[in-house]
Amino acid sequence: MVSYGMVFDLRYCVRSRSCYVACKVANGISPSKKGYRRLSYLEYEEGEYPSVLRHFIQLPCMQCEDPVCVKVCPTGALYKNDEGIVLVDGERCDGCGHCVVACPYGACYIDEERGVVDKCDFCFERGTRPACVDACQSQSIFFGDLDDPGSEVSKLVSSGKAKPLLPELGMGPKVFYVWQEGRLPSVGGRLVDSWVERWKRVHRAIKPSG
Amino acid sequence: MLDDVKTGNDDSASEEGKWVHTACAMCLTCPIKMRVEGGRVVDVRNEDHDFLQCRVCAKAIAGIWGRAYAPDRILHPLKRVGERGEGKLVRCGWEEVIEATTSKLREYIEIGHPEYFEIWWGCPLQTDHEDFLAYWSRVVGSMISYMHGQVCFGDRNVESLVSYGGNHSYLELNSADLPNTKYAVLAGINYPGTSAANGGVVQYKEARRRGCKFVIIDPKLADSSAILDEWVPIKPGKDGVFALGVINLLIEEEMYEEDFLLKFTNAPQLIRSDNGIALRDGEGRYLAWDAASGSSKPMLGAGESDGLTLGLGKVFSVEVEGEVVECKTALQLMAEISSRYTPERVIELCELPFSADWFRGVAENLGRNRPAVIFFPGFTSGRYPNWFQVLRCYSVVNFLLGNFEEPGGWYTNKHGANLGIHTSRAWPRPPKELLGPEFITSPYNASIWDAVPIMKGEFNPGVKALPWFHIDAILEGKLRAVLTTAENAAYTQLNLGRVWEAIERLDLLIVSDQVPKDFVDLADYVIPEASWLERNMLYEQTIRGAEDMEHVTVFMRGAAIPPQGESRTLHWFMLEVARRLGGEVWGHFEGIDLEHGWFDRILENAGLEVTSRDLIEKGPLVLSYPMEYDMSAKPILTRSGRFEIYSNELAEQCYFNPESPWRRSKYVYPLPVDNKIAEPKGEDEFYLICGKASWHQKNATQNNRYLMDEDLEGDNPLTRIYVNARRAKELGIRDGDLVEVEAIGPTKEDDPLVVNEAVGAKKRARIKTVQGIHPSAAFVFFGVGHKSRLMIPRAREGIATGWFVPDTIGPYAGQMGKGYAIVRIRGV
Repeated sequence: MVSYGMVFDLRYCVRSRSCYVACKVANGISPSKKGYRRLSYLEYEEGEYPSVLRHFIQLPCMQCEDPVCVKVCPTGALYKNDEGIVLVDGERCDGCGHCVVACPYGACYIDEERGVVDKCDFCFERGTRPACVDACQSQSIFFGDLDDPGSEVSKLVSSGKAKPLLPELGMGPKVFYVWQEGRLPSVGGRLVDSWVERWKRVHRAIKPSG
Repeated sequence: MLDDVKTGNDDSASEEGKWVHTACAMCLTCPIKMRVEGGRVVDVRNEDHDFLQCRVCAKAIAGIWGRAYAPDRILHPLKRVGERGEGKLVRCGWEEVIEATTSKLREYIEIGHPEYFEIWWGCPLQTDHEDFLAYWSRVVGSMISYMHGQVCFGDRNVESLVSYGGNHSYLELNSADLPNTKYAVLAGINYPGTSAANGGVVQYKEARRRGCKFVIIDPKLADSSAILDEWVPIKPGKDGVFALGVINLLIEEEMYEEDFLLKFTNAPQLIRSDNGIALRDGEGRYLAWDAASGSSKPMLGAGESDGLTLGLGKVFSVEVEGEVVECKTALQLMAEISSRYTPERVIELCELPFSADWFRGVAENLGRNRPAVIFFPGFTSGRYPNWFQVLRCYSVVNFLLGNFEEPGGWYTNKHGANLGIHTSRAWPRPPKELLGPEFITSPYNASIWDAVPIMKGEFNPGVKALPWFHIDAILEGKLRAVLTTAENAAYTQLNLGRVWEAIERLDLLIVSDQVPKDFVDLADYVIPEASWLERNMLYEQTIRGAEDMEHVTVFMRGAAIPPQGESRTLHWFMLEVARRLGGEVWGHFEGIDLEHGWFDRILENAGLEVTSRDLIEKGPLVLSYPMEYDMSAKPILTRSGRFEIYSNELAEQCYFNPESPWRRSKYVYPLPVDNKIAEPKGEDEFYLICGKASWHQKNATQNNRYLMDEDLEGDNPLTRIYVNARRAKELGIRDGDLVEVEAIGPTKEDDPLVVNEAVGAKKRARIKTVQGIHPSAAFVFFGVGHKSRLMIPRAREGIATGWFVPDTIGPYAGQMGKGYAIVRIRGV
């Protein structure tokens, strides 16, 4: 059995945005539509002048072991394959958007022209490595089989250096991060804030009038 | 027939599914390879060499799918039908553009003024065949200018000649031996994001792995440099003060490399106390004090120090023509200047939110870790009129640290330049036989507007261009037609109001480019230029990676696909014009092969047994050598033959020269000094500063949908104006509010170097309040605020600083104060 995962080594990420552009081109995603992205960035300041940190992390799909998006999908369009990658069956998707709200990592978005959800699938159709891994300027994105103890991703995870985001939610995310020393940020809290905002937007949209 | 000339327009080297070895042109020319199927690029990768690791970055990928394949790519010749600047352009034929250009040239030649026609070219890494364009100009008699170069790094180049005599030039951080550096203080650079090309990121990673600490001095915490260890928010224009404070502490605490100073700098040189002029003997040799004999003697050549003394705290009495003259050493005079910059004063003047002890700590980290340290003034230059002296101050810090040709310090590559790839003239006819002016021997300083002031000694030959003279020449009717390539003077130059006014006066403006931009809107004709994927060029880069090796890499940018639509290479166009001029002119071009022959001649001159076709088909040629730390590898061509703390050139050419327009100007004082710049005064006044995001570099990255994608920006919206959160609150401005930004200075009254003011320029933008910016500064990103309606709408939002910056002319080094604007910000 293969279980693909990813590690972002933020100690060496130079924030070039190469991963983002490579993803867009490799997956044919329009650069001109806001919100159309399989990889997003969470970037924010922490502290007060002059003691300021700027945090930056990449958010692909976490390819969770127990993905909430699959659970909430009413049509079965979202499913996990035997390599641990969460895929979308475009034929089955009705664009309801439950997954968009349910995912705490914001992995899903609705392609309104096609009326279906789109998300990172580790460049499944590319057949090799994800485009972001190949494009990373500092070669600080690792991709491989988490079940292979000899893989770079396994070594980083088992050493304790690489940690997931929001593990307490119990979904078993398979994307991990190595933080810059002394820079463990409040990312989890920020993610939850974004998640709540997404839910609120949907809630406002469906709120009955009158 | 348009296709008669051998330009190999369809000579793209790709076969179906084959890799073409080429090079990116979006910033610093990384060697890459592309695969083509069905006539389209389908894949792009870095070259396979481990040390290269030039991963294909956002800019490269966007340069293909967002530029060469852009939906608004200019694919046909265009001509203007509306007013200049309206962007009303219609398709026309190649014949019309060629004939319009030729007839104008013929007109000027017939009245004896071919110099009325000028080519403006852009970055040497992006321009199509700039050396050929210089040859063309020399034959035809027109002018050519690297107009953009002075804004970019012209004064850096001058300073490297004045201070180092060409022995050293740390324009880019790949001059630093970073894998061995222990402590690096970098100013005004979005590092490492903007220095990742050609092994730069490999060096950064290795430096990190080995524990190097990085400090960034910048009014704004930039997107990539936010990963570094410490941010120093400095008040704009105060970098010289900071450096002088470091000099003061290094001398006071004796944290300097005495041996280096004695052997390789003119620290021991004797300067008269009464008039500040260097002491010389009857043969004109500069003098130093000989401690052994207790008298003066000629200062020894670089590398020797026998008997020399630094002379700190000392006064020497020297007999000169029967008179006893008091003298001090150059280093002692430097110490006297820097002693005014105590840590407390530095903190106060730079408005640093730290203690004096903190500043002492920075100097101590530099001093105690020397020479494996870096003190870097930033890539490019000329932010303010005082910048030339700022660079001089930085150089003296590095002299004191002795960090040249030592592990972890500054390193000059020893082997690549010997091949002459970038300097070897592949001109078919020797320059002396050609018709045009003799000062055109390269594309640099090759216009009368640049060359004449240089030949008169008013500006150092290291300047890249003197743009203000060209604008003056247009306004005076002495420059009447411009052809421009890889360059957007309508955006990148300063005091844009005046630039646009000048452009209006031109008889003819031809713009060569691939995508819409401001300059295209102003053009009479637009040449659809072949993109970087569609034409050949030869390069050499020395890439060091992390292994203490110099990998001299010779590579071609091979055309992967043919020029799209009706686009053609610019050199094809120039040849067509030359052919129509005919006669003796055409005789110098007939049979020329610009696709391969031109480069093969350079490769042959270099003694390399490889052709341009080999490089395109098989990949880069790499010659590897171990690094050799060696101060004597290049001569030091200053007047003293040593690195100069006291610049004899500035003293003799400028400061004490009764003929010099810069006589007694503090901006060319022989010793590095701080010169104040004008300051914002009111509660709603700020310095307007500008910087580049990691994913936007230059003209090439503009109008690119991928690079202007909002989601890519993260927390760096490109079109906002950034203001310190506390100051915004005091002004009652909130994040996201719309504000009006108005240029209020500097005026001529504020600063005597201001020649033409930009007061009154106004633009609206939305505020972004941040913690990571000095309270006196308001920041905007480079690359937004365009005027052209033909461009992506988002590219037109925001502020282009060029409209807000006045013309300032830096004495002798020609720095242009490109960041020098004072604005008022008010809510609307």
